[in-house]
Amino acid sequence: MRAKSASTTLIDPYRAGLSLGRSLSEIEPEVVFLFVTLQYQAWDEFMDGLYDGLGDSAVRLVGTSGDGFYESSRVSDIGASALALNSGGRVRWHVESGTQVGAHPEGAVRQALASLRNRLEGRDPAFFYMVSDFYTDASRIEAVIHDEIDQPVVGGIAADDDSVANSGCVFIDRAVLRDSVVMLAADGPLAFQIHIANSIDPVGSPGVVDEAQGRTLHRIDSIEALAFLEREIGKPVLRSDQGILLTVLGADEPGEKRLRAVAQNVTGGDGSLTLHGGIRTGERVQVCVADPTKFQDSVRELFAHALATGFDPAAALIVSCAGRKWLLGGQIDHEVQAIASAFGRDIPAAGFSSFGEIAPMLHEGRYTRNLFHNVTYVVMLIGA
Amino acid sequence: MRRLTSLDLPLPGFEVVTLRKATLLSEPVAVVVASLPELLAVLQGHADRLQGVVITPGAEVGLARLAPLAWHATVPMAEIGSLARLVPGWLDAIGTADEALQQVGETRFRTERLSRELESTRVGYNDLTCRLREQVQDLLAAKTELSALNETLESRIARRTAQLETANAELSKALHDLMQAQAELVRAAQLSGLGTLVAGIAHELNTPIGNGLTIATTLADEARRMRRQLRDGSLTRGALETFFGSTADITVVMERNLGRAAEIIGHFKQMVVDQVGEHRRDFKLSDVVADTLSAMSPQLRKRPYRVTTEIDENLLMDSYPGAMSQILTNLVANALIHAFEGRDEGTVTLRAAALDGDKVGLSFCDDGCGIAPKDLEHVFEPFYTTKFGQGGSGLGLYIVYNQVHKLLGGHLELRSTVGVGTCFHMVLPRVAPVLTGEREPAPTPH
Repeated sequence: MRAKSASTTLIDPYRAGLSLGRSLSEIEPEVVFLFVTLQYQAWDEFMDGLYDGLGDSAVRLVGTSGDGFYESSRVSDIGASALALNSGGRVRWHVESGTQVGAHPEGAVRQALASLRNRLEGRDPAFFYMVSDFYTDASRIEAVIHDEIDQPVVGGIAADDDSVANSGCVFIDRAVLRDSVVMLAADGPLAFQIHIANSIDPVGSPGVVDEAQGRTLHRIDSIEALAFLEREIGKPVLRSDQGILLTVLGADEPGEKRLRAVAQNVTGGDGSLTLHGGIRTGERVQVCVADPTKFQDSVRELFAHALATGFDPAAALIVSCAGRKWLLGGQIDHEVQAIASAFGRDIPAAGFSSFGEIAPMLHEGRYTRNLFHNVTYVVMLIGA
Repeated sequence: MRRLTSLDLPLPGFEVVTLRKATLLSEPVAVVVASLPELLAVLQGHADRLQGVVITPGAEVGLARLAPLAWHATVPMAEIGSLARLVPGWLDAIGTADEALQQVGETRFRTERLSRELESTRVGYNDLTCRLREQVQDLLAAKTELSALNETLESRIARRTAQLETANAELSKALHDLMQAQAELVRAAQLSGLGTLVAGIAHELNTPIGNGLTIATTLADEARRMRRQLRDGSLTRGALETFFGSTADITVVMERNLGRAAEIIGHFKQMVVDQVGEHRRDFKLSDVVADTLSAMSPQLRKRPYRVTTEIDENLLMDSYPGAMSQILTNLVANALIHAFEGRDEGTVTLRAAALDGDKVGLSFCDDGCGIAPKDLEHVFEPFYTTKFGQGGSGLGLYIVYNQVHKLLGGHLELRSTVGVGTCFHMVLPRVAPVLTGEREPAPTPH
């Protein structure tokens, strides 16, 4: 597997795309995973530049906007990064999309999945990669990938800090899509590992959800959801607070964990909370608070574990929660530096700051079902 | 920064290329082309992205701005070489401007992010401020209320204290009344026991006195018959002698019945004096037991249960026979009510023997149904009864306990097994202790 990553902070869309494309063209990529921030509004110019730089209009592209990008050389709030792969023809890369993910998340995922299965002609892919527009209930996406897809699915949710702009987009080849989900299937022999890390400490006592609708949580333990949160944390919850989550207790299978982050700036005036992902009435939840001092340790442990398996990565795909970046500030660079530190060499890597992460968990040597996470660091190591 | 030309004309420092959009837009360029439309066609509508200088041959020197960082210069063909010498400095300036624009763009983007972050923080801060203000207002209101309460606290305490004292006095009086009522109930229960005793004695007297009355009536009838025979002269010697013989027999029977009645009344007088006056005297325990069971015989005869006694006939006590009798009466009555419920046979055994240390051991055992564990620890409490409303006063065993402990100076132990039976074990001093303030012994009944 040949791999290369590149990044740019040029603000001119054509020149930024061109810069990435020219850099990646070195390996004559079969597929490009693209990650951009949203200051580029002229997406056609960006894509013109990218494909002009690649010099090959047949390159498959799957991409997403994010709250920032990761690349081997840097992490930035502005610009674009990309990871290009060339399997030498061993792997075919199928990319499809589903629409209206906001109103019909299950339908959008099934639409993309059906198109991919049509392309796969009955073969099981090595893995799926998926990105979705943020303005949907990601737990409904999770329900489909959790129950209807046996292969690992890795990906995340596209958005940035500007919630007012309601902006986020995903890409398939040259096209920019909104209100959509894009999925890629790696069709062929491909070694990979998926690892996730989060450092979430439960606090207080569990409570039972009395009233919830989709992503809106109204009441827990007979009191308003916000009051429950403040009771358990022991301090007022502000709209700007980061890293406050609810873990759903019980109902999961061994090795699985469900976390729902409290969305920033969308705490209801009526004492309700908006979550990144839905929750159901009757579920038992416990408040968790992310501990940024443990973020770096957990990522370091993740790569130490990966190294210990003897896996030889050619590239790394990163999906990391935007909340982690907000909590870590300048120390977020560690999340890419840790790769080179662990393996002792530069490894092409790229990824994005997401608003919800998708990946199975590794439990006793096997992957669990596909799960939707919050405040989590997901890395997929792609084998040489 | 590249210098390019699409002309076949060699220009020093300029690279001859086929024009492409990527080439033109990747960085600031100086490009010499035959005409501007030729260049714009290559740029495909992205001329505003161009950075650098476009030079075309023209009749006169001219300069026009194409884009924010791009200019179009026209010069006569002969002057192009001269103009080309100015290009490096020009491109440097454009490059510097491009870098500045890049920095401005990045700064603007970061500033927008920062302002959103600040806005979020501001909203959060304001929210926190409002909530803290509300809390402060709540605290102030609470403080004001507390101050008002403090001001009236002393008078409220005084008023409350007076109320409490009144309530306390009322409670003390109620307690005193209750204790008095309890004592009266106990006394009533004791008198009720006496009533039972009287009923028994009356029943015992009924037989000898009834017999005497019958025989006396017979004697009177015989006497009237003899008088009639004497008046009318029909009395014979034989009839007279028969009358005398009958009279002698009747007299014997009358003497025996009246003697029995006198004996019963004598016992009755003794028991009444003993029980009512807590009279202390020397007595044989077997006599007291016999008298008590005799008094209870009407009750016992109606039931299919047996009372057996194993008592040392020589056991003398200096104690309170009335209390002893009352204890036995209550234990027997208690056994009749509770021990054999639902059974058509049963035995109560009363044993008494001298113990070491001048003590007397007295046990009262039945082979009845036993006492439930939940009731066992309560049976000596006053008014505790499992037969409420069915004749049980709840005072029988309470009186037993008090008489044994307080008057007789002994102690009492209860053992019971459900389905096996119940035993009251008493250890009593043969000589009862002298009570504080004990009354002078009542006169011996005659």
